[in-house]
Amino acid sequence: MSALLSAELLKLRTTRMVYGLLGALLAIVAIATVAAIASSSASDLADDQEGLFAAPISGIVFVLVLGVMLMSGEFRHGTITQTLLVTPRRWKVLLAKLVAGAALGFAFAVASDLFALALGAPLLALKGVDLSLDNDAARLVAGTMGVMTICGMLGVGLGALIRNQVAAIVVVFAWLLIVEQLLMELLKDNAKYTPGEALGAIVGSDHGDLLSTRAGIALALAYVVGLAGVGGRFVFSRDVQSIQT
Amino acid sequence: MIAVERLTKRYGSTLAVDDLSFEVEPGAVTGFLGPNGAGKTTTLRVLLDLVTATAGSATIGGRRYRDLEQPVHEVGAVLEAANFHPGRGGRNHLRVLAQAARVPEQRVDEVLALVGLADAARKRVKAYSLGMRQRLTIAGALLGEPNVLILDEPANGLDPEGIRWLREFLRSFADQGRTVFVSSHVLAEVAQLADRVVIIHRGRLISHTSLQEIMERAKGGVRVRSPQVDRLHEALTAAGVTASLTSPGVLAVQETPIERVGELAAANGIVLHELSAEAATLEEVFLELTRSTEEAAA
Repeated sequence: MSALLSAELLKLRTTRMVYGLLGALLAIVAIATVAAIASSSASDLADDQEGLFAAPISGIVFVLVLGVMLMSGEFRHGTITQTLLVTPRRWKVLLAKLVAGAALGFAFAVASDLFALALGAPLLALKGVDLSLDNDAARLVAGTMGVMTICGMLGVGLGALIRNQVAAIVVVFAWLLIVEQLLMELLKDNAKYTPGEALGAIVGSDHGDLLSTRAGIALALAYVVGLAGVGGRFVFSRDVQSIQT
Repeated sequence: MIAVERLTKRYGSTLAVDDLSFEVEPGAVTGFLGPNGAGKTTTLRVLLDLVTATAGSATIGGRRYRDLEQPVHEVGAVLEAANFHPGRGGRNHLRVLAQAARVPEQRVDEVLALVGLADAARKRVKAYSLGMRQRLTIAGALLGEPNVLILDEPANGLDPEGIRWLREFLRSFADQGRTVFVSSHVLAEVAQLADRVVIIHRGRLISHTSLQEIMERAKGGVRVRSPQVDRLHEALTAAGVTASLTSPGVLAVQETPIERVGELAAANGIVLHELSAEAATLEEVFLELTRSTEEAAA
């Protein structure tokens, strides 16, 4: 299994996509961090530095897309044939990809949080404010890591369910931009059970309408298992034909 | 040894492989011959567990591919040459496979040198020609030093030099007592390469025909165009040669060397405007073969 996992990670490292998306995320974090510090007064900043770590969570989009590509990209380029020739047991491949997706999400979260800190600390010092990471900030950082880790797996699960890469990525964006909001309107009191709200419960500090952190983690992981399970059983297991190019 | 037993694969209403059985022995190059769409690729994909059979079985050394302990070390497969991420370098592509199969990284450089890609190893596959991609696929199949090689139309996209290299490579591979099973729809390729041949058409084994017979049929006939076509027809018939008028002024002559047709025309003082050998395509040969089998059955 460890050999398969390192092969999956090597796949990620040997194309440019990961570096491009990580660069884009760090750029977003840079802009958001500078803006957050520049637009706040020194006294506000001394009180509340949570905003420093607010931007990295936007990386879930990138991690979801990369997770999808880990799986459906193999069908897009036909590399799945060679992957399965090395490892004909498909559930092993799926499992390795889920772990690789999780590692990817975690790495993106750590990289962008460290980047926000490296950028924010000197900026705060310039404003004459001491860096003080309170519980809320620590919670946000930990939550971001958890959410991004799970999003990497959600992407892989979705890729296992939808082989067509373009379609799978369209689903990611449609979900984030439209479906999640629609579901929240429709479900009202039960809205806390949507995937987005489950993730929100992991990262959020205000649990008024949300599940507890633990329940959020459990539900989000259940979504991972559901997607990967259904995808693995009914889609990823199908015949792999030669691709026409 | 590769064993295919009563294998059937159905796609919707299409029967791609129909109750197919054959065996492939080690120590020889076995050709897998059939026209395009005969079911060769489907058979090979079932054998490699990429496609699930509707019925029957396909095994390597008595086991299904997915039950092999270390597939890469037992079987090398060369399927189509398009299976690459265009943005990944050739060497990195092999490193990924080697990593997953626990093959030491130095073996990657060995197989790159073996297929003649050492100089292009760091280039991205996007910049590779079809022939280079085919070589890279072959390099991947050799990573685990397998005893069985399965190749699906490996000559596609290879330049003449590459084809010669492949032929010699497969020959020496088989001479070491290992198994080579190579599909092709090109008769001449199989004739040059294979010691034995498995011939299929429309998903079924054509067991009553030898490669020899197919080659004989593929030679086709002789086409003669003459302003004195009626006299020529008489002269040929008198000499015991079968010929038929295919269009005004054109005769198709069967089962006769082209030289003899020319000599007969000269002996009778007949003017010829055209004298040419017409090779039949494999598709035509197979169509004719199936027609004759169906007639025999009726």
